[in-house]
Amino acid sequence: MNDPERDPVVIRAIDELRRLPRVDAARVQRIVAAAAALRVTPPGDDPLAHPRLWPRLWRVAGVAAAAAIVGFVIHGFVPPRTGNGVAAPIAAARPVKTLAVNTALHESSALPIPHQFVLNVRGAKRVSVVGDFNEWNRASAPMERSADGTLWSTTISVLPGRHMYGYIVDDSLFMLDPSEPKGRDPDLGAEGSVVIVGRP
Amino acid sequence: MSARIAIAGVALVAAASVGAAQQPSSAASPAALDSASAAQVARIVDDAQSKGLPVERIVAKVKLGLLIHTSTPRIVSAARAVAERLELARAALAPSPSAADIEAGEDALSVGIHADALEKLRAVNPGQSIAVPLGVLEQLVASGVSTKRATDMVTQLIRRGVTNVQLVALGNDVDSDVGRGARADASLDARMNGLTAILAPGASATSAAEAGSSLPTGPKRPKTP
Repeated sequence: MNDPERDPVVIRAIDELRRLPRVDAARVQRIVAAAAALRVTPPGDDPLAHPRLWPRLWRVAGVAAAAAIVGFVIHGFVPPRTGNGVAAPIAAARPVKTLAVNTALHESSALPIPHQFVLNVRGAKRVSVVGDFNEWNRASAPMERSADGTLWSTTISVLPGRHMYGYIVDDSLFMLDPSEPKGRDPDLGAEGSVVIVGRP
Repeated sequence: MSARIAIAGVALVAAASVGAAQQPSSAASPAALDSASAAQVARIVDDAQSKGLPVERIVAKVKLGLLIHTSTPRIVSAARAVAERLELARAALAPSPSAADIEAGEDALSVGIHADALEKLRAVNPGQSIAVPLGVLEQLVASGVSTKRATDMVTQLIRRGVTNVQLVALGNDVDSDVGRGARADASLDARMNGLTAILAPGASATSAAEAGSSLPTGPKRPKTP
C-alpha cells in the first residue's frame, strides 16, 4: 500500500500550501490608513458602546477586509522568483493560481536572453557576430579579443528560439561557428550556424 | 517606422562583401536593393507592421539576401513569404503569442512544418513561450526527422515535463549523429530512450506508444560558454 503522506509529490504540495505569503508592510499600512480614513469616531471612543454606529463599523470592517483580501490575492498570486529572475514553478495543488503563474512564465520566457558567442580564430584584427537577431548587421555586435589573441567573444541579448548566425572576420570573411550545428535558410539557401537560445 | 528606415538603409547602403560558406569565404561585390524593390519591401514591412506582426524577421531576411548577393526578386519574394508565415504563425499560436513565439513559428513554417503542429505544441503548453520547443522541432525536421514524428516527440516530451536544456540537447545530439552518418529516425530513437528514465511518467505513456518510440538521452553536447 502506498502511503499518500509519504509520497514526495504530496509532501511537496503540502509544504507549498503551508507556506503563507509574506506580509507586505506597505500594503498593510495602506489598508490601515484606508480604514482609519473611514473611521468616524475619535480613537479613544469605543464604537461598541454606541449601537447606532454598528452599521458604519461593519462597513469599515468590510472595506478593510476587502482590501486585505485584495492585498493577499495580489501578493499571493505572484509566484516566487528564482535567482535568475525566472518564476519558480508552483505546486500543481494550487490550480487557482495557474493562470497568473503561466502568464508570469510566459512574460519572462519571452524576454531576450544574454547569450555569449565565442570564436577561436588566430590573426584576426576584427571579428563581429551577425545573425537574424541583429539583422545581419556587422556593426551591431563587435567581439572582443582575449589576452592571447585567439579567442573572440561577445555577449548579446537574443530572443528565445532558433537563430541562424555567423561571424564576419576582418570585414571580409564570413565564418560559421565550428562548435554549433549548421542550417540552411529555406528562402535564400544561405548556410549559417544555428543556435537555440532559451531559459532552462 | 524603424523597420522602414532599416529597409531604406539596405536600399542605399552596400552590404558587407561576404558570402556564406562553411569555411571562411572571401568577399564578393557589394549588393543593394534598387529603389523599386526597396519600395516593394517597404510595403511588405508596413503591411505586416499595421497588422501588429513583428517585422524584424522580414528586415533580417532582406539583409541576409543582400549579404549573400541573392537576386532582388528572390529577396522580395522571401520578404513576402516571411510576412505571410508570420501571420500564419500568429494565428496558429493564438490567443496571445509573444514576438519570440511568432518568429519561432514563422521559422518552423519555413521548413515545411504545418500550422497544425504549431497548434498542437501551443495546446500542450498554453500560456508559456514555446519558442524553444519550436526551435528544436525545426532542428529535428532540418536533421531529417519527419514532421509528424518530430511533432509527436516534442509534444510528448513537453507533456512529460522536459526542460528546454534537455530539448536543445536532444536536437543538437540528433543533428550531430546525422552529421556523422546516422539516420535521423534511428538517432532520434536512440537519443530519446534515456529520457524515459529521467522524465516523469504519466500523461505520455500512451503518447509514447503512439509516437512509436520510448524516450533516452545521449551525452550532452559541449556548448559554447
